[in-house]
Amino acid sequence: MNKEMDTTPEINLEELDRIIHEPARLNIMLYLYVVEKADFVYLVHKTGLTKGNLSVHLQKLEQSGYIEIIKEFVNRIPHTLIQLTPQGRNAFDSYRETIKNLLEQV
Amino acid sequence: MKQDPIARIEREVVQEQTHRDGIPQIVVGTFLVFAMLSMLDGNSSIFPVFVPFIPLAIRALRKRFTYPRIGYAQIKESRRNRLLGIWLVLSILVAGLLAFFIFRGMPQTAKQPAQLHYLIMIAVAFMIIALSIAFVLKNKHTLVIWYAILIAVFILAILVFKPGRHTVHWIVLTFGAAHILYGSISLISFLRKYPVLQDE
Repeated sequence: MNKEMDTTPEINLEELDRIIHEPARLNIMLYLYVVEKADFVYLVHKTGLTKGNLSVHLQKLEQSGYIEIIKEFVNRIPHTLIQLTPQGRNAFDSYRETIKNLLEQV
Repeated sequence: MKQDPIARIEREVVQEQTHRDGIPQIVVGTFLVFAMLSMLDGNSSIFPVFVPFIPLAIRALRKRFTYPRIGYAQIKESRRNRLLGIWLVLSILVAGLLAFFIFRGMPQTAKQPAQLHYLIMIAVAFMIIALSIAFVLKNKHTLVIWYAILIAVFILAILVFKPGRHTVHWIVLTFGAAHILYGSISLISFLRKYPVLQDE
């Protein structure tokens, strides 16, 4: 029994980036990863999150340095543009790699 | 072969941002109809002026109808696509200038027989240009292949059958009208499907 347990590959979940690993933020990162930049409405539409919920997650990602939020006014209407920073892009690449490796181990 | 999920999502986003609203079809169709009507009316030199306004019109309509519903996303442009775009714009300018000066330099008597060829060339060139702007620059949709085949068949048909003076105009006119119809149906279903969303 013990011998069997010894042969089980070690899965280190600590390697996972907790900021990105949260499903809503993963979704946000994914949809920002495939474009240069996008506006707030695009993320509401693609992720299906409520405006409040999305704002909270965006703040968290911004605090981590993964995204940059640009607020502007177009015809006196607020318009929010969001883009992944190079750090965010690298973090997403690393996350994908880690997940792939972990799944291979499983 | 299994497609990379990221590439698949990127493709979906490009599709949604560039095709689903039917706006390029409406604008290109309107341009073709307007161009052919002005040609049938004998004013073949006015409509090329409006070519640069095609992308502007598409963008203006998208700001009004598309972006408030599905949002705006700046699509990643590959180096290859950017070069293709520059090449396309330059070739349009050169071809347009050449056609203009050649036709302008002709004596009045030579203009009449040359006009049909000139008109066919311009019509086909503008179809290719307009459709290229609408489809090729932004993605590699299978529609592009179908359009390329359609245009190739169209050019071949003109060369083989040597149609009458106004036949080409009527074919392009129908083609443009079909675009407007298809684009309008797409736009209506788009507007029904996606409600307007507010920014933060």
